[in-house]
Amino acid sequence: MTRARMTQASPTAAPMPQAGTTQGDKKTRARRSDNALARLLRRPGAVVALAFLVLLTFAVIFADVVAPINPLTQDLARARELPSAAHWLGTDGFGRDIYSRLIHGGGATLGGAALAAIVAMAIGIPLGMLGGYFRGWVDTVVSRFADVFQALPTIVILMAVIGAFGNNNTVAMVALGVAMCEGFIRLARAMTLQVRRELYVDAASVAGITPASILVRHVFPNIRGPLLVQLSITAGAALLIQAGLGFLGLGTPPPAPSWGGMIDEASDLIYLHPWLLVPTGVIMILSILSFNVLGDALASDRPGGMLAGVRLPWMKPLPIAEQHVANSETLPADPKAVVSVRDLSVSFTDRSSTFAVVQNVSFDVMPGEALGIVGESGCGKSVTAKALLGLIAPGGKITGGQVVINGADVVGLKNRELRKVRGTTIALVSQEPMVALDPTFTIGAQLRESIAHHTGRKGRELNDRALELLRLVGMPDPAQAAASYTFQVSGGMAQRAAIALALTGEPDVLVADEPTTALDVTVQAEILDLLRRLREELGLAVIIVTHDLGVIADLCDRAVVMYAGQVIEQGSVDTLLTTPTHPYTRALLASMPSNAIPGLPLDAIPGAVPAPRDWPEGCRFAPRCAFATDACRSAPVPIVVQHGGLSRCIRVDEVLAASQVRTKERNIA
Amino acid sequence: MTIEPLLQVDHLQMRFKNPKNRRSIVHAVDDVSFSVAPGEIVGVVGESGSGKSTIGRCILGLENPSDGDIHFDGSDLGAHSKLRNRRDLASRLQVVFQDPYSSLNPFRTIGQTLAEPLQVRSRVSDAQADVRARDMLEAVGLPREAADRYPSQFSGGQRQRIGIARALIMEPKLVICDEAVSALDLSTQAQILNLLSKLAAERGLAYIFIAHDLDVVRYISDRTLVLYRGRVMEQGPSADVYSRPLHPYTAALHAAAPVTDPVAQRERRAARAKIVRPAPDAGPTTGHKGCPFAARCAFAQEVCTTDRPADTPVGERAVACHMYDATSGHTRQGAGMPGAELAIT
Amino acid sequence: MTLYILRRVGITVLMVFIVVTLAFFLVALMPNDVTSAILGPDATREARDALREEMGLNDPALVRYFSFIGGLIQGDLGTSYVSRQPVVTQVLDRMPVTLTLSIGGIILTTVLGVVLGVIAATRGGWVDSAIRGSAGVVQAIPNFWLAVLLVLVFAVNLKLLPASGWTPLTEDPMEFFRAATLPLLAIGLAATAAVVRQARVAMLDVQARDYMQTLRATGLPEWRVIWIHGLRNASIPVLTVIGLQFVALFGGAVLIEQVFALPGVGSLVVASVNVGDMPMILGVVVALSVVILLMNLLIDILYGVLNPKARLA
Repeated sequence: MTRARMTQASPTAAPMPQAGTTQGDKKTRARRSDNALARLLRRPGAVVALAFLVLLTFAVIFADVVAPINPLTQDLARARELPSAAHWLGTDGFGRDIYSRLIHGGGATLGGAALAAIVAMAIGIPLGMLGGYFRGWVDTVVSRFADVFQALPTIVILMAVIGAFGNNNTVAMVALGVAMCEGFIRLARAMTLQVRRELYVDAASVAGITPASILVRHVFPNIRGPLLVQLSITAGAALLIQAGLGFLGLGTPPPAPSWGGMIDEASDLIYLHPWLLVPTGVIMILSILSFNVLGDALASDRPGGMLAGVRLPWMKPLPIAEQHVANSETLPADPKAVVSVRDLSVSFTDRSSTFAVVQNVSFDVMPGEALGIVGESGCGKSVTAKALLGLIAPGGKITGGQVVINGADVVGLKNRELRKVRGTTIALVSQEPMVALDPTFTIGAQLRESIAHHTGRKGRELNDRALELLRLVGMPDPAQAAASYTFQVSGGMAQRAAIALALTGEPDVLVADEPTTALDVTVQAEILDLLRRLREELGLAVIIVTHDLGVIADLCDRAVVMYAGQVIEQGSVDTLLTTPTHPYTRALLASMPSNAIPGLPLDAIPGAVPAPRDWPEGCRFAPRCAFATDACRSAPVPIVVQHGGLSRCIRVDEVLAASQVRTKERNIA
Repeated sequence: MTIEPLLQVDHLQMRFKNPKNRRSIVHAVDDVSFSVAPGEIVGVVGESGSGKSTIGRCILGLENPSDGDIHFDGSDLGAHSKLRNRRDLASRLQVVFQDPYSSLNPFRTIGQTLAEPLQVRSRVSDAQADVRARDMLEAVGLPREAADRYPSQFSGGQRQRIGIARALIMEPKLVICDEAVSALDLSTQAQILNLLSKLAAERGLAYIFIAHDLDVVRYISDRTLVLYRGRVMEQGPSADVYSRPLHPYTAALHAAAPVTDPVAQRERRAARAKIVRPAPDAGPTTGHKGCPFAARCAFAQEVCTTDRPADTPVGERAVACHMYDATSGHTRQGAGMPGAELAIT
Repeated sequence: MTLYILRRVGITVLMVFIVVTLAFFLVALMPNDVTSAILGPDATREARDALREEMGLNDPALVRYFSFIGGLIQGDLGTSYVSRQPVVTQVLDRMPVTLTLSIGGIILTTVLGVVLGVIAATRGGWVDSAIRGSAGVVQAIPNFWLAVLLVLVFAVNLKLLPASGWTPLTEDPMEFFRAATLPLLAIGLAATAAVVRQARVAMLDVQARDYMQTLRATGLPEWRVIWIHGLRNASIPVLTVIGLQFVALFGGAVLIEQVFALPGVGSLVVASVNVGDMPMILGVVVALSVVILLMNLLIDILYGVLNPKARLA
């Protein structure tokens, strides 16, 4: 009976993606229908900025309607007046209506800025994309071209152009566009270089798509976001420069109105009519601000993504996702243990809700023991391990439980107290060795810094101790390693350096978060040897987080298996890996290629790990489990002592029986 | 009657300047030769720096080899190839990449991504392309409606299925799987491996399956190539290479991968100690002479550091090792010492 | 490191050369006839031709270019059309004022900008919003308008600081600072805002990096993590912005010198544009590009000091 189920579970049949397997499936589908504009309009700042610019543009285009008073008409009798009914913004030194001059002058200023921005974009984007895509000499020429314009202040360039070609706004604005194209070139080039490395560009290339098609269909859509931001910023900057030219009497020659020119007039009249400064400044500031705000809004736009945002105090509290919490099976913390975790729970908050990622996790680590925390991605193992040091990613918090390290609970400690525990009692080695150390300091410098902090040694003693530690972790040439930067050494050496750093405070427990996942298998073997040696020589307890059951077998005494935020099995490695009591552990072992018979399909587990929002009410593994019954699905399953270890399953007897049958079958086969 | 190989690679070389030391040259691929028969799955296994991905990229035309010949289905793709336009190959040679997250353009729907290679051939109407795309999605175990969605709505395993669909929609003869399952979870890995096997069997596909995991390669491939620092250490039928390796590096690779039985793992550790010297990794290429594994090999003698070992054919297999003894079939432990069995249980 | 510096110097020299060449040909190709500007609209054709011959304007552009380059190497930037004096003396005369403004401005900008940016990134909450908000608004204020406003408030109304004029530092330090304060503020504020924003983004990016987590896990005090490790890494992208702002500061100087009637290179350029004195404009362009490219060189060197990957890889 069970055997039939097992073959049924064999995934030669296509496993259907579970409803809600992908994060917020329905929600993302609905969101897909909105586009960048709709997203933009949800931000109040962007709405105001956009509205202002649109209104201003209309006013400037229809200036004769909006501001019927002739901007050139002088009325010396009514010069230097403050705002009144007849002149909404007052009059300038020649009695001309300020409001009218602002609106009519906007044409030259705004129009000029728009022209410049468009020219900059039209030249810069294609050049940048070409340079970034084809590289080589094309890139060199394009980059040098951009560099030239970066080497001089734009205004000076323009002044040279005006000096040579005369005072003409259009010519000046086109020249401005050319001068400002370098911003677009730089950005388009950088983004194209980045996108070009993406595998989907390679895939298109292999599929036989032409470079032109690739540029248009694959590269451009992926870079247009930042380019739009650049356009907004460039428009604002062009506005500023155009006004600057006007201030100098260039661009639009007086008496035609221009915003810059009006500021110049204000400067002349500063003793007699300082009010003139106000309307001119306000309209300039508002316009440039609008461009910048728009640019910012576009820059922080992320389609379909979720940000763990900071919640301001006046915002409404978020709904807590409904999640059944299994009954806590806590025994009190074990005083003999160096680390004792009880009912640890961690939750994360994003824009829409708060949800648990780790629930009611409990385990002990004895002095000198090696404990493995194993599971697939999304099970919460990394979050659990880092929580032991109080390192929670932004947006997350420990919502319950204790972490007792050497007798003291560290949950809820202030950072200042946590710092005393970190490094001295418990230390961390993380996954990517090449980025684990500060790239701007040598390995030796960082070791010395930590040694000084923890032991108060000084001078040459620091260096001696650093070299000693590097020798301890098996560096072939400690002096050379100490003088090197992380990027100069291999992955294995970098991980040894990271381990050395973790040991500077002489901790009792070392937490290693997937320390070998990024390393070659032969290097992994060496690092595991090192950890074993450190356990023997220093009496160090090790908590290793991994997805590789083989690593657990190699290094650990006991193991904790996690699935969907919970501990589902716990026990000594000898029994857990040979006769697992939980169907998940069993299925995981059975699906490994090393345990497979070549020629037959692998015993793959159907379905996928549920995301934190979509944890089922009952047993979280039930939807994928070959042994699941209605009882499994209806209520949360507690973790209880069974067959020498802990297991969160009510069907353990059937699991063990099935394993015996299977072993016999394999022996016959 | 010998069957014409589908792919023949001869003396492939890929050299480039060492980014850390402009004066020295890195041999990413150093005189690699192998062939792939129609419908055969050839596994290429090696660690980082072995050149395995570079070989794939050279065959696909994403890199230009420095030297050597590549003959695929009648076309010359090697270093001296006059071929300008590879578009014709797209219907015969395809790829599945490692990273499911960056192998799909986030701004195009799945349907658009799948239909694109078909449209390039332009013998297929849009409607037909759409139907073919949805058929392909079903074949890889996804619903037909997936064609209307964007990559961000799918998990890593599902995206990898889409990548496979994209590769197979052109009905190629050879698919290069470049670490196609390395970025996936254990349970997803098994599903995808099954899918790949099934599709290969159903459609008579040949694969070059590039991976760093010897167990995975042994499971899925018919023959295996073991690479180290750009050179072929040994090649042969997968089962043999796995259980009776002829090269110490293969044995070292095998012994380094931990097994899930703690008792067996202790034995494996002991076996590894006999093959690999405890010196930690020496860093990038330490010269071009001799055998690249010599620095870490427990069997190495002086000749191993000075002379490059030749490819020695052994029946269907081949091995490049000075210490390989043709008469006893085992690796010598030095002059006058009895041969050592390299097999790891 | 030496190799890195030499490479950067080489590129600098090349860039100066390219800029100067482009500027020269821009000027040489101008359609304007400068002779009528000099001699007046009533000048006869013969007089204008004679002047052209005398000024060497009838020679082919390439010949003029080489003689220009030749002169340049010897430190001769040509002769002003207007004053008939060597361009080089006038430019050098006025450089110190502009240099003081821009270098003073960039120092103020860097220190204030980086500190505020790091604070904004690390404190978060209302401090962050306040700093971001102010920086956003300040960046939208035209510096020449701000200059006029500052004059209005501090010189006209409060009568605290002078509205115009310049005293060199060597003559009278007190007067120097009084004269320099408003121009520096006007010139530097917008640039500071730009640096604040970049520093903030850079710091936020650094905070998310793995090594920051490692440093905290080691138990190091938070101030060391932020101000020694974080700042050093965040400075690297900020340097690029500082280089750009330095260039912008010169542009600002051109305008600000007008407002405060400062005897700098900026006001010299403005005067020259109005009369079409191209040699003077060209001379200023050359001088500015040399200064800017030297500053870029300095920044590149700093970049190499801070970022080992750049100088070693």
